[in-house]
Order: sequence, then structure tokens, then C-alpha cells
Amino acid sequence: MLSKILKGAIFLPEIPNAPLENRSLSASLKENIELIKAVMQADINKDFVVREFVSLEADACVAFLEGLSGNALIDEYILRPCMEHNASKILSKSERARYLLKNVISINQAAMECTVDEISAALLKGMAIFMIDGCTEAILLDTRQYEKRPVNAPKTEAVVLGPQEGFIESLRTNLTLIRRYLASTMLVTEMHSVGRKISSQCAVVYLNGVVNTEILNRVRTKLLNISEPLVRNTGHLMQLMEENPNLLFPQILQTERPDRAVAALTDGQILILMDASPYALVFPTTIFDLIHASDDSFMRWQYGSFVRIVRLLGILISLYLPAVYIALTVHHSHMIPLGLLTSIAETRVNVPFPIIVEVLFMEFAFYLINEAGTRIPSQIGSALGIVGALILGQAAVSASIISPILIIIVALTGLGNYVVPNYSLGIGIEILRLLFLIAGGWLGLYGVVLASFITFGRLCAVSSFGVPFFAPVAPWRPHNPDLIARLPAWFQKQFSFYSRENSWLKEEKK
Amino acid sequence: MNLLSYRSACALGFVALSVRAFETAFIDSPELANAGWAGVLLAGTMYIPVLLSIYLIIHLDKEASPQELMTLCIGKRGMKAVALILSAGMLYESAAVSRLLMASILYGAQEIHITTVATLPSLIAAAIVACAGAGAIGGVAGMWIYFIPLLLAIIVGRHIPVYQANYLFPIWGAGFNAIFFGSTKILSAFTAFSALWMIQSGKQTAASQKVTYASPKVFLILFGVIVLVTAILSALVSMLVPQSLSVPQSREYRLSMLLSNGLSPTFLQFPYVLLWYGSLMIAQGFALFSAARLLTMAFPKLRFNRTVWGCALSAAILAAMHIADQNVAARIAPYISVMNSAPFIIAAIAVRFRKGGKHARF
Repeated sequence: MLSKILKGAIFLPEIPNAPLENRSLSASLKENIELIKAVMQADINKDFVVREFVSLEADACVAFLEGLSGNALIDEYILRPCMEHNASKILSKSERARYLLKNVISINQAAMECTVDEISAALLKGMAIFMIDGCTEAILLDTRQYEKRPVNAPKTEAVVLGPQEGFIESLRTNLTLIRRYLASTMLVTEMHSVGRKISSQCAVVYLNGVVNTEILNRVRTKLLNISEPLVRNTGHLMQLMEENPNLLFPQILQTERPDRAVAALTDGQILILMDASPYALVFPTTIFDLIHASDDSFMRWQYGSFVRIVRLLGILISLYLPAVYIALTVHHSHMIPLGLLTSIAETRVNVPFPIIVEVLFMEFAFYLINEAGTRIPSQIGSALGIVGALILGQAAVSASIISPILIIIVALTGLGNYVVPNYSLGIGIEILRLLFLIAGGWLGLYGVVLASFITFGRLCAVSSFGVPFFAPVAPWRPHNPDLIARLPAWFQKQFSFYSRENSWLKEEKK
Repeated sequence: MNLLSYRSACALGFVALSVRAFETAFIDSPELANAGWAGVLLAGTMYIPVLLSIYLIIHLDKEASPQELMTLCIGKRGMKAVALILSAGMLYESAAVSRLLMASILYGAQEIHITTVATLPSLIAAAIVACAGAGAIGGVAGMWIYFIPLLLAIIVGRHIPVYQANYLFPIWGAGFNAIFFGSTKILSAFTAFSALWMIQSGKQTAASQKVTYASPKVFLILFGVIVLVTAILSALVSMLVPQSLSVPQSREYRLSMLLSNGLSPTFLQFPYVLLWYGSLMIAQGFALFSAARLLTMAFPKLRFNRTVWGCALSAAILAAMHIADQNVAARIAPYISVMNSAPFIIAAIAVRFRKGGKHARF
């Protein structure tokens, strides 16, 4: 009984086949097929296909992963031509593969390779490999054709005016989008792999002659020094690349918009894109990059400036309104006009809790509604509005758990948070708001000022790959009038301080 | 080295010195009887010899840092002695600002019953920021500069219909003697400019990391702007508060005159308090950072972060011992002024007489 169980059990190898992957192909097709099958664990992985056939009167095969490679491509451009072709001259065994590559196989991207680790990496990317008896090299053929999402409007960076295309999970498509938006021979895409044990493909993209080479070297060094066994996505990569990972605010921008990414490139910033992630990471980043939206520059300067000022006021309200409300009502009630003070006092008569408890309760309720709104299935999403508005709002006020004015405070705070274009920054602001709230409740306006002093003082000391986080305001540097108000395009004579001195873009502008 | 860029130094100096000078003129010098603006101008005039000395010293080598320039003038030991003296002065300044902040929050009826503990929050906050380096303290001043015009515009704009120019008369207040002695107190606030000059590098990285050097005139213009703005603000505030010499005027009393003088609407206390606390916290950060920076200049082997916390602790002890109180600070202000000013005048003179002339090296 036990022996039957053991016979039927599948013992999976605990580590990748490192000794096998370091080997090179031999001249025997049979040995090569057995080697590749062992590496790809073909006895368990049923989606690994090896199609053996005869070509040039010798045994040959095509191997691929089903689902990643296009069957029609393999049939039409590899199998049929190779099977039907008769060689016009006598070939030695070792010349067969190269002959077929040059004269028969009509796939536009192909390369010769002899090491098993490169071959297995190509298979995992969706390429097909062609091997023929007598050759120690395999041909890697780009037959990638797999299901992917179409290019749609970005989900996390919605705009009213501007392009409605967003990155998707395919690195090739994303690079194509960037090339379409920025048709320049100076656009460079460096391909790298990250992950020591399982590699993921990523691309470092920059505009040669505009990018600051010191910053570029710093980014490249940081990327190549990542020692994680696996880097799953751009979010994971961002956390590994950040120089101050414990800071509340992100120091790398994640964008879903190709137009935003291209604007960063022309400013001298660097992008990193990864396969299986619909975002581009932008290096270096300042706080102003995080609060700007891409349609600010798409609009006329008057509208862009107005929207930006509204957005900044929203951010300040989101950060300070609850803290200032608590500080004024608890510690500085003499600063509130008498009419308003009376109104606040009247509405709070029956509330049994201190103001700070009220505020914390409503803040927590708001965070719950936010998080639930993100996770809730769309079929019952409408119920959230009923729960939020009626139950938490109206019912809580009727039960005298909270005062009505607090609903307004929390609503304004929430709206102020929603105007933040960057999702990570929005969460950072929510966390910081709690700290300011506690400081305001403890020491009043003095506490709010102390907390702000510490926060902004420490933030001013932070840099993102050598660029101060609050540049070009602190420290002040010459810059385009494009930080808070966005002055007309013909005033934007300087290119960003991110870029190198005397970049070719800047010279042309003169 | 952890030095301010000259632009950050300008922002920091403007905020820190203006608020301290204004505070000394209006809050700590009630004997000036609404002639604080004259005291400010006189104090500024008294500092001119030091300013000219600094100007002459900068001309020795426009691309050298102040530390290198002072070494050139009076030797390495002389430079370290100057740094130590200035550090002591800024340490006292830090204690004085923490006492002032304590008085401010007690006026605001904060529920802090142990007054000595009330000095701690500002020192801890300033130490946290100072430990982050020159970029932190200079940066936060650079950002605060953008808010000052907005807050001042609200305050001054709302007061325009109610300013009482007659409160400025008699124009010399309690007389020239009072103005002279008052200006020696205000001068002690202005002499922190010497420490500011010592802790900045004289240069700035601009766009594309290109280094630019400060013109020697920058510091002259900066000081002039600080004196002018402080004098104007003193005059404006004096137009809201009638002259009064008949009652003992503590800091809390003078703060209540600033905020609740019958002519200012109560809602204006909000921008006033923000401006007051914000500027004073930057002054506190400047004092603590410069005390630590100058101490590490004198003793390079000291680790900066530990020096900052050591200075914060020392300032807390000084503040708790009432040595930095209003009346004590008023008495020792002239000595602080001399302590912060004399080394630069001596250095500027010494450089003309050193052995070897222009090419001498110590």
C-alpha cells in the first residue's frame, strides 16, 4: 500500500535545476530534447510542447509553451517552410540551423543561442526554440502571442482633457506607446533583468543628451544591485529602489499615463517599466510632481492655474482642517467668531464625547468607507452610498454621537484628499492628518505648528536620487513658472532642473 | 560639510532675525513706548561696522567659505575660538527663544502647568529638524517665506482702517536714552547675523548642478531688508497699541497688547498666532542648528547629531534655570552683542596687519 502511494507521488524538485541550466547544447538532438525537458519539467508541465519533425533530411524539433506562443505563427512560418524546404546545396551538420534561419524561417526576430539558461529564459518569455540534429545551437524565434488587455483609459489617473490611453501589463505595448508619443532617435530603452532567482524583464527609458548622467548612473546602479530573489511588479520595485523607504511620502512617481511618462522624459527624468505592471516609475521625483496632474498643461494657462490652486487648497484643507478645528474649539475658542462659536456649542450640547474622539471616530469611518469602496463588488456598490450617507452620517447625528458640523469638516477633508492626483501621496496625507490631529488636540495651534515644522523640516532634507524633494522651492533653483500657477507655455523657457546642463532640447529652445 | 547654501541662509536669516528683532523691540522693550521702529533702525546702524567687516573679509576670496576666510584672517585657532564664542551666544539665544515660546503658549492658556516643561516641545522639535541637516532648516525657512506675505497681507490689510498714527507720538517715545538702551537689546538679535554668515557656504547649486557663488553685496542687502521690514512692522503694530509706561509689562501682557488690543478683530489672532509660532520655531531651529554647527566647527571630532541633542539639553537647562528670562536677557544683551560682533571687526583689522601682507598664511 505504501509503495503504491510512493510510486504515485510526484516529488517536485525543491530548487531550480541550476546544474542543468549552466550546460550548453550538444550536437545530438535527442540529448538536447531530454535536457530541455528536464529543465522545463516537461513530465509535470503539460503546457510545454515539443514538436518533432524532419527538415533538411535531419531530425528537428520546435519547443514552446502553449498559450505564450502563437500556434499559427509556428505552423505557418516555422513548421511548414522547414518541412517543405529542399536544400539547394550540400550542407554540413553544423550549418543546418544557420541555413534555415537565413533562407527558410520567416520570423522577423530571431537569434542563435547555445546555453540552456538563455534558452529556458526565452521559452518562459513566450519564444519558440528550433533545434536540429547535428547543431550545438538553437534558434530563438519571437513567436510571442498571448492574451492581453487592450489599451484603455487609465483607471487611477482620470483626466477630463488629454489622451485617454493608459499603460497595460505588456512591456512591449508600453514601450510602443512611449515611442509613439515621443518619436526621437535619442530615446533610449535599456533592457535589464531584475530578480536573482526568478528574473523579470524591465526597461530603463530616458532621453539621451537630456538626462542627467549622474542621476542615470545612480538609478542604474540601484537597479542592478537589487538582490531580491524575485521582483514581482513596479510596486515592489519602487519599494526596493526608494532611498528613504520609511518616509510617509513616496519619492518615486508611479504613473499609468504614457503622456505623463513622456513629459517626464523631456524634463530629463528617467522611467522604469516592467512586464506585468501597467505603471511606469519616474525618477527622480519631487513633491510637485506628485501634486501635478497631466491635464494641467493640456488646458489653457488660466484654467490650469485655477485648477492647480484649487488642488493645493484641497490638499491643505485635507491636511489641516480637522487639526485646526480641534485646536480652535478646544484651545483657542476665543478666535472663533461668536456666532459660529455659539452654533458649534449648541450642536455639541448632547454629544457625550470629547471633540477629538468625535473627529477620530468620523475619520475612521471615512477610511472604512474609502477602503470598502475600493474592494466592494460593483453589484452591491450602490449600497455603500446608502451605508455611508444615511447610516454613518444622518443616523450618527440623530443619535447625538457626533455633531452636524463635524460631518461638514470630514466631508471637506475627504474631498480635499480626493483631489490629490497621486494615490500613494493621498494615503500619506491621510496618515499625516492623524498626527496633526493629535498634535492639535494636545497643544492647540502650537502643536499643529510644531508638527508641521518637524514634518516639513524632515521632508526638506529628503532627496530623490540626488534631487531635493522640495526643489525647486527649497532649495530654490531657477525653474519654469509651473509649480503652483501655470503661466503660459511661452514663458516656460527653461527646461527642468532635472536635466543635464546644456541639453540639446534647451539649446533648441533658445 | 553640513552648511547652508547662501539662498537658504537668506531665507533663514530673514525669518529668524526679523521675528527676534521684532519681538525684542515690541514684546521685550515696553520702555521704548512705541518708538521700537527707531530702536530697530538704530540697532541696525550699530551693526554696520560688523557688516562692513564681513564684507571686507568676503573680498579676500569670493569662492572660499566663511570658515576658510576666517582661518585666512586670524588663523585656525582664532577661527575655532570665534566659532566657540558664537556657539555660546546661539545656545543662549536658543534658550531665550524657548522661554519666549513658553510665554506665548502660556498666554494662549495652554494646559501646561509646569512651565519648565513648556520649554521642551520647541527644543525637541528644533533638534529633530536640526539633526536632518542644513537642507532641513534652510528648506523649511524657504517654504515659510512664501506664506509670510499672505499672512501679513491679511493682518495689515484688515488693520488699515483702524491704524492710529497718533499712537506713534511723541515720535521719540520715552526719549533718546530709552531708545539707545532698547536698541542695545535689539542689537543682540541682529548680531545673530554673524552666526548666520559663519554657517553658510557662500555658494549654491543651481539648475543642472552648476555652482554659483554669492556676491558680497547679498549679505548687505539681506541685512538691510531685515532691518527695514522689522522697523515697518514695529511701527505698524505700535499704531494699534497706545503708549503705556505705567504698569509692569510682562511678555504675556505685551502679547495680549499685540493680539487683544481692542482694535484687532479676534479672528485675526489666527493668522497672527500662525505667523508668530511659525517664525519663532524657525528662529529656534536656526539658533539650535547654528549652536551645534559652530561647536562642531570648533571641535571637528564631535558628531553632529549628538552635538545637536547636547545643545538642546543645555538650552533646556538654561531655560529652566531662568537665566534666559526676559529681564536677565535684557541685562546681558549688550554683552552678547559685543561677543558676536567683536571677533569679525578684529578679524577684518587683523588681516590688514598680518605678517606677509596679502600672501600670508597662518
